Amino acid sequence: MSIRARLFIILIATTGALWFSATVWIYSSTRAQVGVVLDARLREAANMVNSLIVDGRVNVASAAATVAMENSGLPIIAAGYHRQLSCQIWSLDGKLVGQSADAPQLRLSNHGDGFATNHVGDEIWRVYAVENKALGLRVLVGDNMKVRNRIINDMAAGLILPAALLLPILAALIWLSVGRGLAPLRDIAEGVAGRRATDLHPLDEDGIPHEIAPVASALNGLFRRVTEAQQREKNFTAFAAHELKTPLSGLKMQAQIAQAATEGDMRDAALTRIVEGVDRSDRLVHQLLEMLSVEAGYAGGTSPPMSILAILAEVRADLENLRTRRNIQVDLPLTEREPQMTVHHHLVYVVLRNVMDNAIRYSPAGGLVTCSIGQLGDDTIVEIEDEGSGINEAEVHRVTERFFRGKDVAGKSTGSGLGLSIVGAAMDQMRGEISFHRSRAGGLKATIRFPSSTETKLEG
Amino acid sequence: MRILIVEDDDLLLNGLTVGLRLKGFTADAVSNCDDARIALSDAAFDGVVLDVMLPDGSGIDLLRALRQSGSCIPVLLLTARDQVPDRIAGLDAGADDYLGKPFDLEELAARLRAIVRRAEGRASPLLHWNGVTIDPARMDGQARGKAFHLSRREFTILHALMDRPGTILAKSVLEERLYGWQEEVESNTIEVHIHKLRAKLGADFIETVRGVGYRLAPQRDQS
Repeated sequence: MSIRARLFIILIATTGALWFSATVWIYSSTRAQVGVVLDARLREAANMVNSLIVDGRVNVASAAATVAMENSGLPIIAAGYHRQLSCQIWSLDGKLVGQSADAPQLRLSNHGDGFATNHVGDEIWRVYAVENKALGLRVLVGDNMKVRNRIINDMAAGLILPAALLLPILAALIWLSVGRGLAPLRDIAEGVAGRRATDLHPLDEDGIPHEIAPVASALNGLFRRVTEAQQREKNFTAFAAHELKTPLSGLKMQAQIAQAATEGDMRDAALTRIVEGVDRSDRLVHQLLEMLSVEAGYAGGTSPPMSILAILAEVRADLENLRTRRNIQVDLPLTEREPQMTVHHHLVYVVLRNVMDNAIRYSPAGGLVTCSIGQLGDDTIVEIEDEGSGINEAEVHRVTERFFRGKDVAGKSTGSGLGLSIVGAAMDQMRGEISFHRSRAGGLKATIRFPSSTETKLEG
Repeated sequence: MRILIVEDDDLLLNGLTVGLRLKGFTADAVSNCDDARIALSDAAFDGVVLDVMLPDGSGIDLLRALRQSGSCIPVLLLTARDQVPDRIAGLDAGADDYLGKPFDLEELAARLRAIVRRAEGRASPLLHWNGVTIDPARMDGQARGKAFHLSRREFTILHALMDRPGTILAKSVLEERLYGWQEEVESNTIEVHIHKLRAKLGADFIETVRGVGYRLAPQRDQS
C-alpha cells in the first residue's frame, strides 16, 4: 500500500471517529438541553393555569384554553410545532373539568405533582401535573413526545448535515495535502527511478526535509561506495592488463630480436632476456593468484599449531634459490618461547614470504636480512630488516597499493608492485598491521603485528 | 631517425631499444615521465614511443602537456588496453598513432616511419636527392639506377643528411644520431662511415664543411 493511501486512511479514520463522537455528543447534549427547556415550559404553563384558576380570573372550564394562547408567545413555536402544549384540568374525583382544544381525549396522566412520561393511546407524552387540593383540581400540561423528538432531530440534523456535506471535501483536501506533503519523497523516488544504471552521481542533499535526509544520505553513501568499488575494479583491470601484457610485449620483442639478430651476441642476449622474462611472468601470475586467494577470504582453515619461527624458517627455505643467487644472509631469531599460530597459517606465510622476498630482492648483493620476533601484549610482532636503499618517505604510505612501484626502483627491479598489496590485503584479513621504517642499517624495516585474536574479518 | 622510448618495464624497454636500433632507428630510452620531460626538452627527437602507464604518472597526461606546450613531435602510444574508448582517449590527447600490447616489431617500425614521415610533410616514404633514393623501410637504396646496400650506421647517417638536404650536421650531432646516449661511441667514427658512403654513392654526394660538419652537395640539374 502506498504511503499516501496509508496516511489517507489513517487520517480519514481518525478524523471520522472524532467527527462521529462529536456528532453523538452534540445530539445527546441537544436532546438533554431541549428536554430541560421544554420541561421548564411545561411547568410554567401548568403553574400559570393553576394560578389563573386560583385567582379566579378565568373560570375553570376555559382556563385550559389559555395554554394554547400562551404557546404563541414562545419563540420555539414555529410552523410545524404549532399547538404543541395540551392542557387538561381534572377534578380530584376523576372528572374532566376543562381542556385545551387540541388536547387528546384520553387522560394524560394519573400521577400527582411533578413530571411523568406516559403512554396515551399510541403516543408518548411528557406531562407535568399540579395538584390543587384547595379547589380539588389537578392541572395536567403535556407535550407530545413525537413533536418534541422532531424538534430535537431537526436541531441535530441542522448541525450534522453541513458537517456531513463537508466530509467528502475534507477527504479530498486530506488526499491532496498528503500528496503535497509527500512530494519530496516522491521527488527522490522519481529521481532515483529515472536514473540510468550507470548514473551514480549523489543526490542533492540540500533542501531535503530532515525526516528523509537519512535516506538520501544513505543512498549517497551507497552510490559513493559502488562508484569507488567500480573505480577500484576498473583500475585493477587496467593495471592487470598492463602488468600482464607488458612482459608479453617484452617477450615478443626479444623473440623478434633473436630472430632478426645478425650477430650471435645479440641473439644470446635476447634469449637470456626471454628466459628472465618468463621467470618474471611466472612470478606475476603466481602473485595474482595469491592476491585473488587472499582477497577471496581464504584463511586456510585451522592447521596444527605452528610457531612463527617455523613459518619464518619455511619461508626462508622456499626463498633459498633467490637468496643464494643474490648471496644474501637471512638471520632468524633464536627464541625459547615461540608464539604458536594455530590459524591463518596460509595468510601468515603469504605475508612473511612477500616481505622477506622484497628484503632479499632489494638488499645489495652479499647483504644481511635480519628477522626478529617479539611480543606486545597478546600480539606477536615480527620485524624484518634489510640493508637495501629503503623506501622514499613520500612513498611509504603507498607501498600496499596494488601495482605501486617506487619511482626509484621502477624500471630497474623486476617486481610487479603486487607483493606488498597482497601483504596489505592479508593483514586486513587478519586485522593485523604492517608498517615500514628506516632500519638501523639504512635499509627498510618492516614491522608486522599479528593479532592474537583468531577472528578474521568475515566481510573480506 | 632518433626515437625516444618511454617505458617502465625493463624487459620491454630493452627489447624496444635493441629492436628499433636493429631496424635502423636511433633509440634512446627513459623509464618515467620526469626523465621523459627532461629528455624531450634537452634533445631533438624525430618521434616518441610512449607507454600509457608509467610509475610516476600517465603517459596520456605527459602527452597532453607536451601538446599544450606547442610540440608537434610524432608520438606513438603503447598500451595494454586497446579498446575503442582507450584508443579514442589516446588519439584525442594528441597521439599520432596507437599500438596495443603485445605488438610486432616490424609493425612498430613501420608505424614510426609513417608518423615521422607525415610530420615531415612528405607523401612518399622514399627520400630522393641528386639521383640517390633511399628506402627507410628496407634500409637500402639506389644510386643512378644501381641498387646498393647500407649498414645500419651508414644508413642512419645518410638518412639524417637526406632528411634535411643542405643543412650542415655537426659531427657531434651525427654521433648522437648514431649512438644515442646509451651506446658507447666506438673507435670507428663518423669519418669511417662517411668514407664508406662516398664509396657507394660517389665522392661528391656528401660535402665536408671544414670545422663544422657534413652536408649533401647542392642539387644538380636532373639532366
